[in-house]
Amino acid sequence: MLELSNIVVQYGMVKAVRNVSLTVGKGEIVALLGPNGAGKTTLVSAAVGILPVAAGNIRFDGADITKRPAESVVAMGLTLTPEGRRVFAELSVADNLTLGAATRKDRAGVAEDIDRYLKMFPILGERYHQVAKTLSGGEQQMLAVARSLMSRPKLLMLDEPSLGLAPRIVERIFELMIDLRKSGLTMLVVEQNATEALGIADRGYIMASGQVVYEGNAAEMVDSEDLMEAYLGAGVH
Amino acid sequence: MEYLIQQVVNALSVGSEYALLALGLAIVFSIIGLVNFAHGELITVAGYSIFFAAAIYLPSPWLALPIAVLGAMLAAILFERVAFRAIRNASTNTGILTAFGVSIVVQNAFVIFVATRPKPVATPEWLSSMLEVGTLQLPVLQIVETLVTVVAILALAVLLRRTTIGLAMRAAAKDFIAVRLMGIKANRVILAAFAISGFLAGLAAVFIISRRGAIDPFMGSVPVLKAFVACVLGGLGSLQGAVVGGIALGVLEVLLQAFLPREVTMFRDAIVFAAVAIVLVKFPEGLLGRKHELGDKEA
Repeated sequence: MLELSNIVVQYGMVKAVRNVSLTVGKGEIVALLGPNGAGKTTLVSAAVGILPVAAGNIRFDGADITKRPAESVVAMGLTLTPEGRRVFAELSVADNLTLGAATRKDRAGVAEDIDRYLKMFPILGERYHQVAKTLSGGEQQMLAVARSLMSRPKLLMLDEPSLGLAPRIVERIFELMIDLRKSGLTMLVVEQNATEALGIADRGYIMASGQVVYEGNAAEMVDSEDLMEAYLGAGVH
Repeated sequence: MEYLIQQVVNALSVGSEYALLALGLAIVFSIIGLVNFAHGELITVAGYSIFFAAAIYLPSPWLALPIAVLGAMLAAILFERVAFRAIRNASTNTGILTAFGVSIVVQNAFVIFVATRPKPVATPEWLSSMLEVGTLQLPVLQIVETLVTVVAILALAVLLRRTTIGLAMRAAAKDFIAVRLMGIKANRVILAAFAISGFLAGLAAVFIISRRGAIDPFMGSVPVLKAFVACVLGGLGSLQGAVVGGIALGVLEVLLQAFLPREVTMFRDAIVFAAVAIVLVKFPEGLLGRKHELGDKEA
C-alpha cells in the first residue's frame, strides 16, 4: 500500500535518511524502530510530504506521491500523527476534530465520526469544549489520533505515540491500535518502545544512523534477544 | 463638553482606522511571519481603483466603496502570488526587503503612469457631512468609520471561530505543519490571510480617502507605519493586540492633539512614540503579545 524505495532525505549536507526502502501492506501494522536520531521521524515526514526527498521514490495506493505536498497526500488517505502530538493548543477539542476533517465535504459523515471517536475516547467528550492545551499528555495524544482519524485515512503513520506517557496510557494507546486494525486501518508505527510495538505489529524495521539495518517478522524480532540488544540498546526488555 | 465629545468621537475613528490597518498586518504576520510593509500600498491601490473607475465610468459615488475594497483585496492577493509566495520560507529580512520592494514598485508605477501630484477623488457626499445631535455637530465619517470597524472586527472574530478556514488560520499561526497534516492547503490559508488583510485595508482606505479628498502615490507610507507601531504596541502577531494597539495609538494621538497646550502640539508624535517606548520597556512582547513559533510553510 505504501512503498518507499531508496529514499534519501538531506538536511543541508547531512543525509538524515540514506537509501531506505520500506513497504507497508494493506491491513498491516508495521513497526519502525531504532534509537533517537536514527532518521525515523525524518522518514515518515518525507513520506507524508512535509520534507522533500533528495532521491528515491514513494508510492501510495498505486500512485507516485514522491513530489506531492502533504496537503495532497493527506487528501489521498495517507496521514501522519506527528511526534509530540502537535494538537492545536489554543483551539477546543471540537475545533481540533473539525480541522481533522477539513478535507471532507460530507457533513453528516463528519458528525458521525465525531460521535464515534467521542465514544472511543470518552475523555474527549468530557473535554469537548475545552481548549486542547488544558488536556493532559495522554488526552492530547488521544486527541491527536482522533484528529488524524477524522480525515478517514487508509494508512495512518503514528510517530512516537507513547512518548512521555504513563505506562497505563501507553497500554491504552497500543490497545487502541489493535482496535483500529480490526476496523481495517493500516498503520506504520514509529516507536522507541520496541517490545510493545513489536507485540502488536506484523513486521518490523530497525533503523540506525539513517539506514535500515534490519527488517523482519515482528514475532521473531521480539524473540531474538541478540537483535534487541544489538540495535535497540539496553532500554529494551 | 461638546468639544470633549467631538474629540472622543474623533479619537475613536482614528483608533479604528489604525486598528483596521494593524489587524491586516497582524493577520499576515501571525501566519507567515512577514511584516508586510507594502500594506500601505493597498490603501493607495484602493484610491487609484476609484480614480481609474471614475475615469472610465462611475455612475454613482456609492460604487466607489466596493471598488476600493475590491481593489485592495485583489492587490493583496496579487502581492502574495507574485512577490511573497516565492520567498515564503526565506528569512525575515528577505521578507521585509521584498515588502519594501513591492511598496517601491507600486508607488513608482503610480508616479510613472499617473502623476506624482495628488488627484482628487470623489467619495459619497454623505460621508463628508455632519450629523447634528442637539447642539452637537459630529462628522458622519467618524461615526461610520467606528461602526464599520466594530462590525468588521466582529465579523472577523466569527470567521476565525466558526469557519474551517478561520480555524485553520488560527491553527496555522501556531503550527503550520500540523495544519498541512490536516490536508489543508498552505496556499489557501495564506491567500485567505492576504485577502482579509486587503479587505480590512480597503475599508480603512475608504475613510482615509474621504478624509483627504485626494490620492497620491505615497499616501500609504504614513498609515502603514502607524499600523506597524500599533501592532508592536499591542504585541506583534496578536490580533487582539493589533486592535488594542491601534485604538490606543489613535486615541492617544487625538487626545494629545486636542488637549496639549498649543506650543507643545508640534511634539505630539514624539510624545506618542516616547509613550510607546515606555510601554515596550515594561512589556517587551507588547501589551497582549507573547512569543510563538512558526511552522514550515513549504507548499
